[in-house]
Amino acid sequence: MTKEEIITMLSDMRDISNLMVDLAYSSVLYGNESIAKEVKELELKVDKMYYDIRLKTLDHTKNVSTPRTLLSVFQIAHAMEDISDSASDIAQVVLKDIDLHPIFKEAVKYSDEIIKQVEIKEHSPLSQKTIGELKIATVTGLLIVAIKRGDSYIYGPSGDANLLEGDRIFVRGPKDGIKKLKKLIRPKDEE
Amino acid sequence: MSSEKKFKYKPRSIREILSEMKDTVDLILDLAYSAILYNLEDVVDEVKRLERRMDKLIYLIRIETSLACRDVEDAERLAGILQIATASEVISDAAREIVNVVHYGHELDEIVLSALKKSDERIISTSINKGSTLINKSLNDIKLDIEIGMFVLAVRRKKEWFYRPDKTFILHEGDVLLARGLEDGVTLLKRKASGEIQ
Repeated sequence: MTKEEIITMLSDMRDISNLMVDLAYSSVLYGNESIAKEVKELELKVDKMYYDIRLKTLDHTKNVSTPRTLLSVFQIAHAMEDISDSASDIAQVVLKDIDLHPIFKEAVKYSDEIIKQVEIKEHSPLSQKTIGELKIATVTGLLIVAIKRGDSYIYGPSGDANLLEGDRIFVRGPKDGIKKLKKLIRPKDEE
Repeated sequence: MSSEKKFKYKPRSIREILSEMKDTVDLILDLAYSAILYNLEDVVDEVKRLERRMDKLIYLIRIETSLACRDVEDAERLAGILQIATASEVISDAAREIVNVVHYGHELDEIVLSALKKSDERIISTSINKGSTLINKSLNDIKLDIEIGMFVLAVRRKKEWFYRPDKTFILHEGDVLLARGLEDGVTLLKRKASGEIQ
């Protein structure tokens, strides 16, 4: 049981720390404070997870005959914690309100992949549908890396996750995909 | 001390350096995770190489920002850029930490392997078989990113690795692709590469 919990925590930690790096750079790119704050919030979550994962791993040592291989769990979790701290440092620049994005924008303009935050508005054709039904990945080439619903997040949502009005989704993929997604999510009465 | 290569200053724009740092961060984490998941020694070496490169870049950007600074306003902007550059460098150190797990000969616990396999975004390694429709096509022709949401991180051809291949890169039979994406895309890519589907 503990083992499964550690696996889930470590895999979540990886998803979140990856997401944070993407969000951090894009917060700088767009000078977007709300994304930067998001990164800060996630950093607190990762801190807590890092603590919990170490506790659980220590508890788990009594269940295994060679606990020394568990050192690799500590090491990987530590690296993820460093990644999340660094992402938070990057986002911090935006919150300090320093105007640097012209140069940074230039620097990241040529990246093939971008990350974007999109809100599911009222009457959006996307709401009440599952991600699988919408075939977002197939149509737009974008990956939904997370859904923010109220204050909670769903990381790496699976195909049967529902989208609701008011959700904010974080997508990553080619720039062309964003245009296609915007078409998809436009409320019908705006057409 | 004497074995350290002496650093030669060559002017480069801050934008260029920062851009290379960001591209490296995008790649190095995926490479580090796939290196330990699939036990790829060459990829471990590439992660180490990229991390050393980041050390050089951070040094270079410190010099360039110092040279570019004329007044307080400049200093504030440049401090922000340095903070981003430093954090990017720390991320590459973390990637190095990840591959160090195998580098030091520690045994990876199965928990780590299961966790890496469980992440929603998967990294897979798949070879292109005879009969696959991907053979002799450029990455631009097959548009794996747009069609099935898979990003090609690297291609191994015989003993050589090509990292972040550009769109004109042409795939050959026997190439091994390292790619990132969601489960559906992973399945489709594997079937395309094996020649099972078009």
